[in-house]
This record gives sequence, C-alpha cells and structure tokens, in this order.
Amino acid sequence: MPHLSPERIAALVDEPVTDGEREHLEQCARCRADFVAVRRIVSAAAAERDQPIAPLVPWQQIATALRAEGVLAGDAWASRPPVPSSSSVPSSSVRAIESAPSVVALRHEAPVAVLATRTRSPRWARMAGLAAAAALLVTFGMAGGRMMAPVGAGDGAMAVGQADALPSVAPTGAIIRPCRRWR
Amino acid sequence: MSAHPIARPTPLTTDEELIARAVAGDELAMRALWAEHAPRIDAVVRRLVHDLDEAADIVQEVWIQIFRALPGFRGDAQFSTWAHRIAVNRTLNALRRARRLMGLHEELTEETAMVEDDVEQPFVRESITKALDRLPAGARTVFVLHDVEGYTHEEIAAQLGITSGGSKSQLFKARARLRRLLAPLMDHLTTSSTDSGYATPLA
Repeated sequence: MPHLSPERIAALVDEPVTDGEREHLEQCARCRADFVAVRRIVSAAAAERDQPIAPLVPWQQIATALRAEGVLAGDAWASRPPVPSSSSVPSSSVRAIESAPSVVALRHEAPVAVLATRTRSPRWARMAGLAAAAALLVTFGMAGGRMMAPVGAGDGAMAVGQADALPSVAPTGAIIRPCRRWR
Repeated sequence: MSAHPIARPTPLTTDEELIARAVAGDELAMRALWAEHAPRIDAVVRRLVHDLDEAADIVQEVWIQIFRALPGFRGDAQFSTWAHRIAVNRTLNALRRARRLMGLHEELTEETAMVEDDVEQPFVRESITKALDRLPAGARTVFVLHDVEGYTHEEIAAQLGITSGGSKSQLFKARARLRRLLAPLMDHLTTSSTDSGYATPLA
C-alpha cells in the first residue's frame, strides 16, 4: 500500500481508519511518525484554548469608546486604576462589592502602561490622519523654508504644525505607550 | 507567546450580579466582566486575525457590541459562551469585510518558508501560534474554530457559509500544513518520545 497522504493522516486524528490504513500504519514508520506528530499538534492546539494572552486593548480605551458610543454614561472616575484604601473610602459594604473586580482588573491590565486614554480610531482613519499630517508637514516645511530662511527659524513652525495634525497625540500632549505584545 | 497566566481570585461577585449592575450602567461591574473574560475574548480574536492592530480594533468593537447587547442577555447560556460567540461572529464578519476569506476554497499553496528549525524550543504551543500565521486565512479560521475553540464542523459550516465536508477538508489541509511547517520540532519530539500509540484514537 502506498504512503497515506498528509491530509488523510491529518484526518485520522478524529476519523475512522480502514483496515488497510491500519495495516499500513503498523508497518510504515514514516506515516506513523507523521500521525503522531499531527496528533501532538491537535492536542497542543486544544490546550491553547485556555491560555490567556496579554490584553490587546486596555480597559481605559474600551471605556472611552463606550462613552463615545453612548453605551456608558458618566465621568471616567471608574476607569482609573483603584487606589489603596484610605480613611476616605466608602462604607464597608460598597468596598466589599468593589474589591473583587478591582483586583481582577488590575491583574489583567498589569502589562499595560497607559499614560493617557483615547478612543482607538479605525485603521483607515489613522492612516488618513497620518497622510494629512505628512501633507501639512511638507507644506509647513516648504513655507518655513521660504519665509524663514535663517537656519533653525523654521523648526518651531514645523513642530507646531506636526503636533496639531497628528491624530495619535492626545490634546494634552500625553503619550500612550502600548503594551509589549507576545508575537 | 508570553502569556500572563491570570490567577482567578475567589469570586466575591457572580457574573449574574455583575451583569445586572453593568446593565444599570455600573462601570466597575463592566470592567470586572471585561477583566474576567477578556483573556479568552482577546485570545480567540488574536488567533483568528493575523494582524495585531486589526485584532485590537476588532476586540474593541467586540466589547462595545457585548455591552450594547447586554440588556438583551437572557442567561440561556453562560455569559462567557455568549460573549465568545459575539467575539467569533464579529471577527468573522470583520474578516469577511476584509475579504480575507476569499481563499477559503482555494488550494493551499506550497511555501518554502518554514518555521525556524529551533529544536530547543520547548513550547509546541508557541510554535503552533507562529505557524498559524503562515496558514491561508480560510484554513486558519477552520483550524482555530475546530481544534482550538472546539466548534463542530456543522457549526463552522453554518458560521462560514460552507458545507460540513468543506470544513473538514480545510481542517485536514490545515493540519497537514502545520505538520510540514512544524516538521523539525515535531520530528525531534517524536524521535525523543516513546509515544507511538496511534491505536487509541484509531480504535
């Protein structure tokens, strides 16, 4: 009997085997090794299911988006990481309810360093913003080059134009540091 | 993958209580639901979507949809199951929009590129994650939904608008392709192992 095809070997992980295939697998070390390898892959893939990963998006960003969508009302006080308890904490009953989610939230957000929050714009919007920023930069650069001939005189104008146009810079000038991703 | 195992503390508040509070607009409850379920939601989106930025965009959309639909959650299924379904549906819709599933019925093309021949790599799962990025979108989707997330071929067929047989075909091609991509690692493991017991699953 010829060797089993790779797809057929892959199917045998959860499909019934024929007598001929079984006989071949018992005699053919190559096909048997292929089968064992595929079975290991499938087993490892199933184990992957319960493996958590570093968060793709921090809560602050989701909360900001929820407010923008009108799903979440109110100010952003609850988006901030919980602070250690002090004499000013609410009553014990309120604290008991809030403590568990806060601990969970902190653990999930641990790898993320966020210095400011913003709503994540779609990629096309970010690309369009960057294109607009580039166009402004060129415009300001040309204008600066013509109007402010002395060396260094145009730098300030260019910097202002760029900062105003870049969509990824928060109005406050705060910086968003993305988490280190696992790939 | 540098996953961060998250030890789940003893729950002082159940999902049902959190959902009720979240529906009432309690951000802390919403945040707690997110913190509890985001690791799996993020993971399934990340596995289905090759591009990390696109995955982050989709995850944000998923959570907006989850909280928007939360008042309609009747508790027929667990919240985690319900949210997971939303994540998968939303992700597949996004992939369709991006026409990433155009190649679903196409034959897998051979690539000479291989996953790094790193026999010292101790984590098969990590290698699989890397190799998944090399699968065509359709085969990747079926593999993730079936072998990782545990969907049946019938469920996958309904989700993707293909036949159950088509789902099986894609799955077997994906497995075979992964076997080729992971050959150096898997052969090393196989030769260093006494496991040759194919009889169990074949019986």
